[in-house]
Amino acid sequence: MVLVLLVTMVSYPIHWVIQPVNLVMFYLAAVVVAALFLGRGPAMLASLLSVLAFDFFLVAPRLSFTVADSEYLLTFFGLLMVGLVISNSAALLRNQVQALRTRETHLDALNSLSQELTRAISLDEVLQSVATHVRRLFNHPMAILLPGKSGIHPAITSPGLELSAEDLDAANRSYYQRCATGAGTNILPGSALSYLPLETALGSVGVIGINSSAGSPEITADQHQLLDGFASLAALAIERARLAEQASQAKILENTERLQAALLNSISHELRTPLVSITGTLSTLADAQISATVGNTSQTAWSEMVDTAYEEAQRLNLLVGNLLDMTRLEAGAYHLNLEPCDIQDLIGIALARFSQRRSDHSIQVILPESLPLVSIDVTLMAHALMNLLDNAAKYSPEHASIEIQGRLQEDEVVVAVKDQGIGIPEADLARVFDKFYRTSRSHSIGGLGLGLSISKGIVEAHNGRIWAENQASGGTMISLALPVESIPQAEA
Amino acid sequence: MDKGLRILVVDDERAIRRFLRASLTTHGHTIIEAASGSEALAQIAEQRPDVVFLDLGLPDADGIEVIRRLREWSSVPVIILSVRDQEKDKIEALDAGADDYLTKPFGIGELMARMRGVMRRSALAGSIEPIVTVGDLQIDFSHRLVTLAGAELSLTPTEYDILKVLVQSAGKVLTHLQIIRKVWGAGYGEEEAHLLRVNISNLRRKIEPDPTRPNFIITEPGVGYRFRLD
Repeated sequence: MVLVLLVTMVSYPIHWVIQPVNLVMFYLAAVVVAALFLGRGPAMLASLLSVLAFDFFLVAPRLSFTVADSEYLLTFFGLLMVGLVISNSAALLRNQVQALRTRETHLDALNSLSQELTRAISLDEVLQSVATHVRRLFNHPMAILLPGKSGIHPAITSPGLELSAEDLDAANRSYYQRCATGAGTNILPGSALSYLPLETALGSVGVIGINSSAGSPEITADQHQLLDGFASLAALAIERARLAEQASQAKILENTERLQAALLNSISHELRTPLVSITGTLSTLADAQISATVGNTSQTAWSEMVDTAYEEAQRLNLLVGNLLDMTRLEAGAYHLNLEPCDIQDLIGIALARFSQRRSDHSIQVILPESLPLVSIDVTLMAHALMNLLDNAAKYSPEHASIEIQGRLQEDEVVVAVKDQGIGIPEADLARVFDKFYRTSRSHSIGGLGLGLSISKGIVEAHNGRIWAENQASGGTMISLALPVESIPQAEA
Repeated sequence: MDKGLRILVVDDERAIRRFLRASLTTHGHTIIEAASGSEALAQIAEQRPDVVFLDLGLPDADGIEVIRRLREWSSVPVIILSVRDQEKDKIEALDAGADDYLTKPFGIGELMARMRGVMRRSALAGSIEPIVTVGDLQIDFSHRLVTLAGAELSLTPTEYDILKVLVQSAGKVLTHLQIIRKVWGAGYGEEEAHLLRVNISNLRRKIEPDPTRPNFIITEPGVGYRFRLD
């Protein structure tokens, strides 16, 4: 109407310049514009109004519907007919363009969903991405339901959406009977959502539900098709995620079993080795008493045998202690008995324990005159430090020297143990603290791979840090850093 | 002095009693056994042993409770035999009146040394020697004089008091609390723990040739300190 008015207003002042018959063209243009942008109805209205306006304003006598020249009746008729035809075809074109646009958006949506699903690895990611896409395209509450132990249950739902018992029933039916159910279907039409099974060649993997009556606008037939497309993409992705999950679980299980077997082997080996010399020594002793051959065995042989057995018993004790510590650290059963401690004292305790077991390494201690006290569980921390010393000794040549260095660094006291041993492969530097982890270089040397992980557990329980690095000069340096807490630092 | 002692071994593990009986008998001692707390108290009252080896984990009663009840009527030396990780129990046992402790597993040599230590102290109980010499270190209590290899050391009053307390109980573990109460007074407690640590650290720097490998003042981790006797 506005268009016709506009054309009239433009045409009226110029009607004496241009023949009124030619002004008809302006009206036709208005009709085309109306048809393209407003659809068929408005275009037809525009045609009719055009004829009336043309008659009223431009055909003599002006400002009256009466026509002086009956020839104009033909013009009116022509204008009306052409107008109607144009509006019809233009509107048809418009509809087609719109349909094409919709299809394009749908294709885009399907495309982007399929791309995203290709990237999604876990089931969660798959569900999230399907839900996001459905929400972006349909402004309706939706849910994806997956089979569980007791029937099908919602895996992801739009915020605020609660599924009623009837809805769950409809979803179950959809899943087991592999057909659309719920609102708008013959099966349980009373439920709030309509459900589509998510099907693959192997069967259905779940159900997608959408509430088409809530929210706006209503879902069109086109959109239903799109939803079907989404459903099959989602079904494939969910199936793939499921299969991947099963495969990785199988792998984890296999790895765990392999690890347990290796562990059991290694533990029984480590526990039995000391028992060999202990049992051997004791049985020799028993035999010697019975057959009175004590005199035949030299004094040095005896003491060597007994010393070995004694050392091995101590090793066994340490091993059992380590296993026990590990279990406790893991169970969180350690209660830290914190007390202020002097680093010099801590090192002294670790050294005393260490030298009971190994005396063939010389250990240099480099400590500044005064370090602040740290609040620690002395027994545990000394154990952590002793494990570092033990490791340093184990992986270095006999009689090689080991250095313990203490220093204050910002608000931490750092204690570093440096050895001249075989070092740790760069790639293993972080992993040596893993439980039961042993580097490729260490296999020829006995051990369970527990010492460092216990040290780490102890240090971390104190909010400290522990790390390993290789020294430029060869050998390993393992450092532990303990926070200096605000305990009063008294003067003498 | 330690020949032919009557020793009560209190442990619920038969293997441990058997091992102690075998090895202590060869040293010429007489062994009495008890497998529970109540049995232990009855044996002590009846048999009057010279020394008691007490396990803390007994089936019927807590070892600490046994010491408390025992201390009401007997001053027989008690050495605790415990497994690891019982620092709290060890402290409690020592504070309750035990004389020393040893962690399982232990060598028989160490057990004999601890036994000699407590027997000597109980023999000397009450009498204080005016001058104590341990290695290069000499402490003259009557003149408050401490010398190391003949050279006089200048100790602060607190350091001297700590050294004196430790030396007077030489060989025995003193808990942190016991030292603090004896040096600072009965009103003080664990809050003074850091003072004790710092003073011990300084004392070691003055008397020990290598403070990280102490010769005289030995740390019993989580429990206290011991002045080495031999």
